Amino acid sequence: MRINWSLLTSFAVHAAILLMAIVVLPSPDEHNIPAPPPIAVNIEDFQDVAKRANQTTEEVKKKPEPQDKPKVQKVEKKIDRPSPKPAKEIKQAAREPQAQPEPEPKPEPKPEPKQAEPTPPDPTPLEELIKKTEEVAPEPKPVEEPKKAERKPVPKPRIKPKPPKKIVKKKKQEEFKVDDIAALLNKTDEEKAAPSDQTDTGTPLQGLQNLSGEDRQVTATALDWLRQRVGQCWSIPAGARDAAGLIVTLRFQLDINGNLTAQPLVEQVTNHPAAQAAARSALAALIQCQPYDRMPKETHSLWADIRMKFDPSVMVGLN
Amino acid sequence: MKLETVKTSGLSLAILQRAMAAVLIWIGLVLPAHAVLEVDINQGQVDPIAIALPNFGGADPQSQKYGVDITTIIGNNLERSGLFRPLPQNSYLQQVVDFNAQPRFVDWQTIQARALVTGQAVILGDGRIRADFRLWDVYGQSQILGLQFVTTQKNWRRIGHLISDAIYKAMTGEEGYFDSRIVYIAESGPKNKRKKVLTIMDQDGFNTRELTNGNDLVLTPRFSPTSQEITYMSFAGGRPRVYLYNIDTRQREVVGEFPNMSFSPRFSPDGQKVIMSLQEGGNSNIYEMDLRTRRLRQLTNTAAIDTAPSYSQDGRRIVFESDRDGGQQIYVMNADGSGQQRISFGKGRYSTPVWSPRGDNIAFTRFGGGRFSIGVMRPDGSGERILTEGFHNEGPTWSPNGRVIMFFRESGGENGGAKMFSVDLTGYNERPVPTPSFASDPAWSPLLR
Repeated sequence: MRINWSLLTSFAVHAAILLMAIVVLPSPDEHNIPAPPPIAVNIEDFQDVAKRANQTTEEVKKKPEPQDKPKVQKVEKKIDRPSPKPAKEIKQAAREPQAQPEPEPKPEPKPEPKQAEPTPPDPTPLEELIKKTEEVAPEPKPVEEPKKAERKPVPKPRIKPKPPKKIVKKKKQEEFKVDDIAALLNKTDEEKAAPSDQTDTGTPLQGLQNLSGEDRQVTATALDWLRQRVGQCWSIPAGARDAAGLIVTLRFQLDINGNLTAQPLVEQVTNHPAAQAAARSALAALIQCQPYDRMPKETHSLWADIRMKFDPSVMVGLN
Repeated sequence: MKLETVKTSGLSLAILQRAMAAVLIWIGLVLPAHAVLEVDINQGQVDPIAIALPNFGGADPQSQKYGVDITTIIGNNLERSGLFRPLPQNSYLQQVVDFNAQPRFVDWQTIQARALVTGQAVILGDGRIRADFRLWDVYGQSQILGLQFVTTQKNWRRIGHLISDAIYKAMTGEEGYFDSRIVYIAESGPKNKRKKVLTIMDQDGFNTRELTNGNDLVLTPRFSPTSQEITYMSFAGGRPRVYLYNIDTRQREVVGEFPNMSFSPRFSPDGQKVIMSLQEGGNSNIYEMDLRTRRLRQLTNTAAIDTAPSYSQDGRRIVFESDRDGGQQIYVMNADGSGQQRISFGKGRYSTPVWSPRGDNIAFTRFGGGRFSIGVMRPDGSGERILTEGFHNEGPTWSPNGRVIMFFRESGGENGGAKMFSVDLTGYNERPVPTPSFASDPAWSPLLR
């Protein structure tokens, strides 16, 4: 009889725990299954599949970190724009109105959309995605995979892991709908499988050059263009002829189309008689010359937030 | 048991993951950590500033006319400076601008105006005129300046100059020069028998007044720092001597009685002294006279012609010309005459050096290759640049802000004569200075007080 009781008790306890586990917790598979894939997948999807091939595979095997990563990236994107800049914009707007009646519309519209972006990344979609991912992941490598690997090899992660993250961020910023994410994840899954194989094969080398090289070159080229563009619009004030020590620093944000998201902020002005005039001319140049539409959209996160230093000292032969 | 363990670990893992995610999200929200792209801009343009100048308004026809005229003065001043490009009024999208309301910045951005000036003229009850104006930063969408000037109707043009100076300073970062005057020698009559009259006018050529009657030859007028006195050389009484002339009282006095000719005078920056050349036989040396004590001090002592002295803006140094080394060259020395050293070493002869009010440049006349040039160099002789050259250019004088140089140019021929021109430090903005007759020997006053 006692044995029966103990058995019963044991059985009941186990049953209860089982129930709890099944009802309260998401299926163990979900947890066990390292969500990591999503992150790696995203990167691959966008362009540089090969780069992360190695990382992806490793991550998947080791830990569930990937889940966190995607979130972080998303958060960063959202946070980048909304929190810091909007505040400034609002302040500016507040100041201007006081001095003069009608504030202009520019600053207001942009902040709102950004804020909206942050909310989308709810947990539910991720879970679903993860499930899907899990299902897909196990499946072997499709034919397409090799191509991707060839394009963008593995080496990148070792040398320069940054570029990939940036790319991911940009994309996320642009398209932040749950459906899209799901789609991305699915693709990722397929691709994930591929990279691991490739990694095993040891093909990834080409990818490094393309990815890292491209990213940097694009940035350098874009920077040159940006400098030229702003320089063409910047009218150096006559009072800057003693330009030594005259520096104006502006901080501003650009949307993916190269438009200012708000009035640039004058961060710093050195003590010089022509400093105010130089600040005004620099600000006018920035506004006048937008949009900066030749900036590569793929790397938007790299140039979304800019601190620009205007230093006319090099041109002091104007006299 | 295993199940429990697994579940527990699964649960804790899930909780841990979610907790970590929450923390990361929170951190992300609180710490907006992201990379800021640093960009340096070292190249720019020197294009003139596009500025919109709608006519100043007025409540009645008389004040409206003043409004339009003041606007015209401002536009002309700014345009002549070469640093501004007043936009044609027919291009304005917002034709009527309420002085007391904020302008529609977008309209002015559309026509690419960097700045906008709005204003109004008012005739006060006592007959004086008042002008209010605002300077707007079109892209900054804010008011840069808002000022009000009151004066007699007779003096209304100065309002235009004062507003011009205010705009100039705000937009360029350096002092303006429009509210200033020019004293010069007006020349008339046949070339071999010219009548030369000491004349004064506003820097834009208006309000011309003759100060002498033309009976005596007058040369090299120079303003005092207060712009109320002029020192010049006159042949009155048959003896070339240096005189002081008070513009307000029209009183004239001789600066010292000397046995020989005194010439080429100029005030010290504090207005307390006059520096000049005194003839000694075939040579001349530079002397300084204290106008209060009338004490004379010799600064140079050479067997050469030392002349055309000019103080640095701080009064501590003097630049002058001398032929002590052969041809005319430019030298600098301390205000007490010590430390004399030559600074011009280019080809040709250098003369009439004038120290810039900013202290950074010395303007000069150079003669070489049969041509006269006006140029500038640093006080140490470096950075020599020729701004203009031609058949006969001479007598540079600086604008109060040290950006523009006025000089006169002789044209050859039977009917030729001297005319005045201005050129800025770039050398690209050369303009004739309008005068009713031939004109030479200009001297630019400091800004009026």
